[in-house]
Amino acid sequence: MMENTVVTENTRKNLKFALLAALFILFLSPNMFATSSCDISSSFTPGQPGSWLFWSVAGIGISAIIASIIFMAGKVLEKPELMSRSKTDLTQIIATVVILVVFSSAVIFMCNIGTGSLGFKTNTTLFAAARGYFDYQYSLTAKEYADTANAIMSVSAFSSIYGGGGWGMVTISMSPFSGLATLLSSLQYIMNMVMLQISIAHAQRVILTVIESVFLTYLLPAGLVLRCFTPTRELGGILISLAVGLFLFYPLMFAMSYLITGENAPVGIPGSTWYNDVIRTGIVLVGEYILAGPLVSVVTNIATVLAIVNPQVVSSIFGLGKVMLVVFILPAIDWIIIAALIRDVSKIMGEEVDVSTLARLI
Amino acid sequence: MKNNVMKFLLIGFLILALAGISNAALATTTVNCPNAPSPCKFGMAMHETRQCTSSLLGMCIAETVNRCCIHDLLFNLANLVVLITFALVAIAYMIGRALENPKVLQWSETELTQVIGTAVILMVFMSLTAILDTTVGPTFYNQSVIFPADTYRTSSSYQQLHPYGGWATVQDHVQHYLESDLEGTLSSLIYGFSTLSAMVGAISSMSFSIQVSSSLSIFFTPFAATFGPIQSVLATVFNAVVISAAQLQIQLEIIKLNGAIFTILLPLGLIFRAFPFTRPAGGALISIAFGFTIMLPIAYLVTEDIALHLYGPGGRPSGDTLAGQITQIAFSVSSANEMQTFFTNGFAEGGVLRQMAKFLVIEVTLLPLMAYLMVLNITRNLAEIFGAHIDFSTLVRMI
Repeated sequence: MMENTVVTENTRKNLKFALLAALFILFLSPNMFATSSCDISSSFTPGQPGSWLFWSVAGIGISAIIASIIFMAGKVLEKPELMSRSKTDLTQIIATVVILVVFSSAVIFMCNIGTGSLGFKTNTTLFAAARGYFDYQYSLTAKEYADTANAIMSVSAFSSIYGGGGWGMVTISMSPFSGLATLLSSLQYIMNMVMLQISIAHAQRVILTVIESVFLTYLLPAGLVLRCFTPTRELGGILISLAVGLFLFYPLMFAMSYLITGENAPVGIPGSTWYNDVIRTGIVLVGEYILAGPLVSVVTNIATVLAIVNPQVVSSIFGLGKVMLVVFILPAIDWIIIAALIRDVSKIMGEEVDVSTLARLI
Repeated sequence: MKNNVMKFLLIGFLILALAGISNAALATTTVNCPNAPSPCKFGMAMHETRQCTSSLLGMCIAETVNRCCIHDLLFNLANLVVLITFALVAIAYMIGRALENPKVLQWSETELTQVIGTAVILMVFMSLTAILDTTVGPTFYNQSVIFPADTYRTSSSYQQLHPYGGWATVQDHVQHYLESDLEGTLSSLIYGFSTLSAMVGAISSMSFSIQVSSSLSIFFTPFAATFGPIQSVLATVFNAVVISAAQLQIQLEIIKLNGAIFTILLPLGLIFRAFPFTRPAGGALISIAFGFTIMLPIAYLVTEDIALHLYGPGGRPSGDTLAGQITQIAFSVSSANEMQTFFTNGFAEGGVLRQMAKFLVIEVTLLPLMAYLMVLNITRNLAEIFGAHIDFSTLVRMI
């Protein structure tokens, strides 16, 4: 009976060890051998863009050495509280190693996901897909800007035309298209919105670049080192969850937005065409004025000018909806989810980070 | 022990049912899209996408590009992730039993419950989508649900406005309502207003100069006094039209994305829900997908019902009649020389300005705003049920 209990106990211990070893090898293998197609490399070589892993390992190693020195110092000086604190720190260093292994595996897995396997038309990385979304978003806002600018210039130019003619003592003069100026304030309102959207679109793209190049390289190693010591543990947890959370989920959510919007290529930005319209109409106006007189000229040209201006105005107004969807609405939904995900990740670290203020700021 | 076996059997059955239902739905449901030549499967329609033609254990192994159908790759991926989670949790449960570790056992039992929850959510969602297109939609198409006495839906003018009759999906119907009824009206209003502004501006800018002598000339603008104030009223109303048109476009774009939100956000939510640390975010995504694909179209059906009650089909203001009526009013103002006539005629019962204010304020702005508030409120509450606390305040403020 006694023998059986000992055997079961040994089996359980061996099984636990085997499980831990298997898990460790499983998590470590992608870090060591995977060749990543991601924008950041997974090599250990310092000085390269993907040296975050090297600095993270080095940081944890140095932290472990410092904690060990403190432990030894505590032992030599016979200070039990110092020994106890460094023991806690060493335990936390082991936990940090596990966090690094799990997160680096997740990061490398994330980098190796081909978007083709998620239903995208083109097989690329999630970062590239998110960049595709931002390119589309930016081109759409730029097109809306160009469309609205063209409409404003056309309306301004036409509404400023002033002419007249006389018969003997009587002179009649008028500004035949001045009524179009009533459209200007609405178009300027649209222009204000578009300018804001261009800034936001640019900010979202910059955030992706920063996340890609800075967060893992600087924030993660700093967070890991800070997490190893008691006084800075909370701050370290926050940095790790921000770095990893945003690195994993920001490109993912915006890549999904790209998929939702139909993976459109950036749209072409129209050139400035308003002066062609104004010059062409001006020539016709003068010609008609000479040949048929002022009244005929005014009536026929109001129709001509409206045929030029109306589609521009309508295109500018109706284009705003699509731009707002791509720049405001979908990113707002993405940020809601990203904030929830970062909060979830930060809970693993023992801290709850709320990035919704950052989202609101953007 | 018996209880556990029963639990596993139930879960296994649910998972199989889940994979089976989604694949069966893909294989059998055929829906005709009104705007696309090819038939569409799977309820929600979307143009220029892919369709799974052959699948194995939830994974799509062959797909074709279809002009109408949605792709099911992410759905299959979600099924697969749920199956993998189930397998992992089952392994964890076995390990827990082998090690006699109550913590592992408890964790795996909790996770198994969550897997069941995910399967149930997906099944409920699929059923609701089917009910939405096959039952809820046709109920609204044929009669007024809010005002049963109204017969507008069956009138010939309404049928003329909505020529497709039997709609493939509620989304198609709502999109047509927004595009044809509202966007069309607003577009005609913009054209009407710019024409009117140009005419009024041309007349009001007209000035006469009479050369009395070499040193004296008389200069006067006879129409500026009357048409000047009208022009400022036109500018104000045009601003309102522009704001309404812009926000209507946002509504329209959101509705156009409905199918994509369903096929992308829902599976993503299911995938997130499979992992403990991302479960609240998964719940948030599922609730957003639910709100935007189930509740929003229903809210628009209700909105349309109320609007039809207010106007009747074909009762919305039109840009052409607007230009004519306002010009008429303007000239009557000019002859009577009083601005009051303009407002009295314009805002009288059936007057063009009153009709337009009703359209812009109630149908294009207020009713959709209420619809969105309702949808966001339901979404937030649903997310809370799924364990996620999402802050929609930014989105609500934006809307």
